[in-house]
Amino acid sequence: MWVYAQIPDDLQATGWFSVCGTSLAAPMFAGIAALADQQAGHSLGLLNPLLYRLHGAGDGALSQVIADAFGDLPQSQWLIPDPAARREILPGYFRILVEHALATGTVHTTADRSAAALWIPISADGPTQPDDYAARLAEVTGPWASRFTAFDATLERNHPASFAHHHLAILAVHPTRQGQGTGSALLRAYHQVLDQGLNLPAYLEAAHWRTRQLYRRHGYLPSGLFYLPDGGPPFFPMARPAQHRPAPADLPGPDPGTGAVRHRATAAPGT
Amino acid sequence: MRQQFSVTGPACRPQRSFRPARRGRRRSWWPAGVLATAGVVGVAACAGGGGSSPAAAGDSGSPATVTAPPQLEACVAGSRVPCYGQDPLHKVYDLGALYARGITGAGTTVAVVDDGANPWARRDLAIFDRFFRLPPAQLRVLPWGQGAPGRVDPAAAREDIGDLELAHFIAPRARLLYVQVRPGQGLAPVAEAVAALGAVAARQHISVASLSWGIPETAIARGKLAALRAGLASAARHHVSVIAATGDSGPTWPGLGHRTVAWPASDPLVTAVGGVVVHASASGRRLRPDTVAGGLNATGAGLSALFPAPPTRTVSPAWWVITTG
Repeated sequence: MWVYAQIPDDLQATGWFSVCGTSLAAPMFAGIAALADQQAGHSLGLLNPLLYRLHGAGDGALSQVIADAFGDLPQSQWLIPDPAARREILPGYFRILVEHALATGTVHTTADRSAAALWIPISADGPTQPDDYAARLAEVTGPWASRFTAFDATLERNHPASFAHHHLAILAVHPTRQGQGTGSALLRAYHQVLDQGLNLPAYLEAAHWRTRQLYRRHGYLPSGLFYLPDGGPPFFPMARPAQHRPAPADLPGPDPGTGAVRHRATAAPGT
Repeated sequence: MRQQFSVTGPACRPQRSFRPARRGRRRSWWPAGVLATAGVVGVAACAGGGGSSPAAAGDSGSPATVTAPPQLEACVAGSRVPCYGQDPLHKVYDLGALYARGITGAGTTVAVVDDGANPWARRDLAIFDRFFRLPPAQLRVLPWGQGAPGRVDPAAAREDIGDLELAHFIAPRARLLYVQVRPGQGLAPVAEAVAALGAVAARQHISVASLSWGIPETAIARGKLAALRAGLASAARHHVSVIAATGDSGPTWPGLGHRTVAWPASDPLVTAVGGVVVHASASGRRLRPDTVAGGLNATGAGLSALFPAPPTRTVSPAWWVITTG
């Protein structure tokens, strides 16, 4: 950045100087803070708590994208029949899943945060729930909590046991961005990790026969279907065998971690 | 003990070669630009490199004789680091969209607390504004402290005017308060400056304060920290956002043989700002992602020895962003 300084006796001459360094950044960011103050209508004061909260708000943005993508699925309607309540409750529910995936697995998203893939490693002992899940679920879903509990139990009962794998708990693309290859891009990115680093299979529950076609193209094999209770809609479980491919040297990409993990049996509708 | 971080021209080059410190108990250092205890934000740190080629300005200082800043291409050819002007940086940070909505910093005040005592700030800001087509800066100069204005240190004076111009460049309608710290109470300069910040925050209506300097944490004597921090506490109490630079020497300090981070940047009452190199065309199109400055200088980073890390619950792991286009 150019600054202008004309100072007598300055051995570095005088006029335009190119500047760099973090105290170029400090006044620039002070300017940005002033813009934020004007937008807010008041002085924001110590910014750090706000910045940390903003960071967390990113989780909220992804939760909303998932809720927007899944809101009208039959499984979501089964969970909360009332459309208004569904719109209100689902973002909070998906936030639990996003935070869980961030804590124990991997979250992939796009630069514009219009899609999310939540991957959770599952050990051979099968899925487990975090301690506070029931309380948080009750808090978020209120009168619909029993539906969510039944939903979780159904998916857990049908979850493959006895072999370690990675569970695609959520793959959601915002409705305005669907059909543009985003879901495939997210799948490819994580499959690369599974195939080249971990050599592990993957598992998901497709919410619709149409999405099964997408997953088939990415190597998932259908394994029947199961229904939600009380005459609810079906899920189509699919598994993708481990496909070991030697990694090119110096492979870039995320490392989702292979250690023992705690996780929860919940899956979201509509992967 | 006070060191200003912003450097112009050839001084952008490291003042000493990097020498790894002996391994301590802490095995992991935070990535460059991330400090343990404060909110950290990266903004273009080295948008210009060494080897500046100052355009001639007549000794008279008459703005009429000043030529425009050199073009980006000429700067890259000379120093191999881009030095951007207004248009590319405004575009890189998408500031035009904010300005179009009237978000220009109007109604706010940015305080620049410095000890360069630059008497030509108003004149140079006017020249800067003219060439970058900015609204005239609303500058108020507030001398602070008992010291008599002495001989002007050119490097410090250059630092001060640079800080003022850059804050104005981002928030062109924000008022600028140039707090000219004039040490004279027998305190260390950094103590005087932070005390000045605290006093000004209590008496003036300011929104944001920019501190582009710091001292190594290891230079702070035990027992002195609480008194030093009083000015920062006052700023926080009066709802002033304090922004501080993390320094340009990575995890080390020029002239020191050990790792240390900069204070006040390391203070939880401060938002620390590191830096990145922006790679953009002359028209402001990003050519590739920002990189952490590592060649000419490295943004200050490391674990604070004075303050604990922020609670982990407040920080969630980063997402992996997949580029689909």
